[in-house]
Amino acid sequence: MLTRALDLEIARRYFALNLFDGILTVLGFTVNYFFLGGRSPSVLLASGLIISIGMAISGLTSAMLVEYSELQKELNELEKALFRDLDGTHIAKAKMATALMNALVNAVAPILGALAVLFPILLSSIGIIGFSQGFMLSLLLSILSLFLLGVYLGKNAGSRPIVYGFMMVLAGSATAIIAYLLGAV
Amino acid sequence: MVAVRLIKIVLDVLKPREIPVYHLATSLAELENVQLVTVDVIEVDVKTETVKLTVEGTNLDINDVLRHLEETGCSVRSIDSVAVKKG
Repeated sequence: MLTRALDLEIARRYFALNLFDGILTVLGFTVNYFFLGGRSPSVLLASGLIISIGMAISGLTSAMLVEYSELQKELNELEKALFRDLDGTHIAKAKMATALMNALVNAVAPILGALAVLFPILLSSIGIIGFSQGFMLSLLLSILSLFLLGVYLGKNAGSRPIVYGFMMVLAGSATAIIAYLLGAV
Repeated sequence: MVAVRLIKIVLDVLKPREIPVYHLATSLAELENVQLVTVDVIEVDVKTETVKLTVEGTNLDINDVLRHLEETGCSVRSIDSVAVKKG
């Protein structure tokens, strides 16, 4: 690739944001379902997957539109600065590839986040573990995933990865508590 | 008739800043008959850089060089110097 336009900076940001979204959304749903008295792992699994697929489609289309609009704006400005048309050039292709990659990352990240939460529920739905164990394991995996995401962001920022990790866990805990209260009352 | 070979071209080029000078130089060096590429940054702007691009080789095809710069997304403002060799 000739240009450095195909960089990972925005994709990395999208990945972290949407992984976080995916984990929190499905975690909230899982906790709420459990405390509302739901005990069917297959219903929880299917609903969690549908939520994450909805987030993925939303992420793909919104990011495509946003990225394409930004790409066009950047190219127009660059064309003005260079006094030439850039259609078909390496730099235009690299920018298009970046936009596509960002949109794909935006779509895949919430599904990965949801899968982290739903994996124990999957084990429960095929009878390897009980539903309550699956639920507890799902909570643990969610907290662990959030903590690791925070640590990654902290390392990326070059400061206090543990603090970042705990802040993520705090957000997850707040979601779980609200979901519990909504399910329990 | 004695063959005349183009051995050096100096171009005034406006390029997007997103194309690193190193990448521009190495991609030009991959063209046929190119032996040496020198890129000197003359002026830096917000989105663009003006560079003095010197391409040297045994028997350069100027159209190859211009086409490559065109495809890359650079604007060639002028051809400032050429050197040819007889024989």
